[in-house]
Amino acid sequence: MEFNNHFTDLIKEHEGIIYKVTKIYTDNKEDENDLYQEIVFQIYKGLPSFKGQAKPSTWMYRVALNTAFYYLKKEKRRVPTTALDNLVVAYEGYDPVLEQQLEKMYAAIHKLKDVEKAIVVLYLEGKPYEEIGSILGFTANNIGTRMLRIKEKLKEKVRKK
Amino acid sequence: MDLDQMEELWKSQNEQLNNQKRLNKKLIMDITQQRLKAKWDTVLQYETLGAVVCISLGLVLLFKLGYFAPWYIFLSGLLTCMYMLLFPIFTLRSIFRLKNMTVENALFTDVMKSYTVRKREFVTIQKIGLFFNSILFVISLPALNMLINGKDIFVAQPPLVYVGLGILCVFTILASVWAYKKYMRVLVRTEELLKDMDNELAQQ
Repeated sequence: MEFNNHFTDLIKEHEGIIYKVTKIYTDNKEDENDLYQEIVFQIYKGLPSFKGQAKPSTWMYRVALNTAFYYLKKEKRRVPTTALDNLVVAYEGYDPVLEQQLEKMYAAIHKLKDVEKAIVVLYLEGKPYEEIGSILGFTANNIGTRMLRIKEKLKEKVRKK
Repeated sequence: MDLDQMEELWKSQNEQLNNQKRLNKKLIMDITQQRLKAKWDTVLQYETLGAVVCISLGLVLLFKLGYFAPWYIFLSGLLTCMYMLLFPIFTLRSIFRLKNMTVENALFTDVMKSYTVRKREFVTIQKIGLFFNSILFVISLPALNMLINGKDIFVAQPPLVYVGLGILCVFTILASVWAYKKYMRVLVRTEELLKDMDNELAQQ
């Protein structure tokens, strides 16, 4: 039972990671739900081999991003999903304006390439270039160069508008 | 939208997410259980495909049995035919029984008892398959040679195609061992989940 408790605690503690990764790699509710649950399952599968070499959040990002990359490549094969929407807890501080701005932000991220999306998310999470590199398999210098390109890209999109 | 604006929004989103916890333990386990069920569906898909191939070949052999002579070719045909027709049915049945196990509203001891019986049945059939798949190629050679070439394998020299069959035999054995190990992993996961579900219910 200890394993399952550890697993659920880990998921609960870092569920934001799964949420953000699914948000940037899907463009509709159905895919979002499907990818979300696939990531949870992949973490469940991979947890026994996680020996704490990295921070749990770093490891979870790696699993979540790898799952998302794989999900994008594979032919879509629907599996039954648990209804998550019905279980979203409504809370008092819900801000529709913020929600709208977030939608715009995700729309901007969606326009980037798949690897760039991952870099942006990790950057926004406040991860240093070394850590981003270790998650994605690039050097810190490479991440720095890519970040410059991403900034340019985002500015260019604003200018075009 | 530039990166600075995104950073601001990201912080607000993190605060929002902290206030809006979507998951609880029950839901996480439900998700995992659903995915495991999907794993059994995948196992079932592959096994169904294999069953269609086996049963088709079994039926061909059944209709040709009357032409098989002398007795050892007939026996080879009969054994291969029986295996091809019966084994897939037992395999599919054991997977169906595991997949469709009723968990809701049942006592944990009953669920585990039922799971253990079904698991034992599934494992036994897989082990039998593992053993017979490897010797079936030898058993079926006289009948298959008669079916394909119309010749007695012990009289006429077997053509080069049987070198290919030998290689196929090795692949079949390797594939059977691989599938067996994979199925065992799914079984272990299913068992862990069943135990955890009981624990969850006990806490409620």
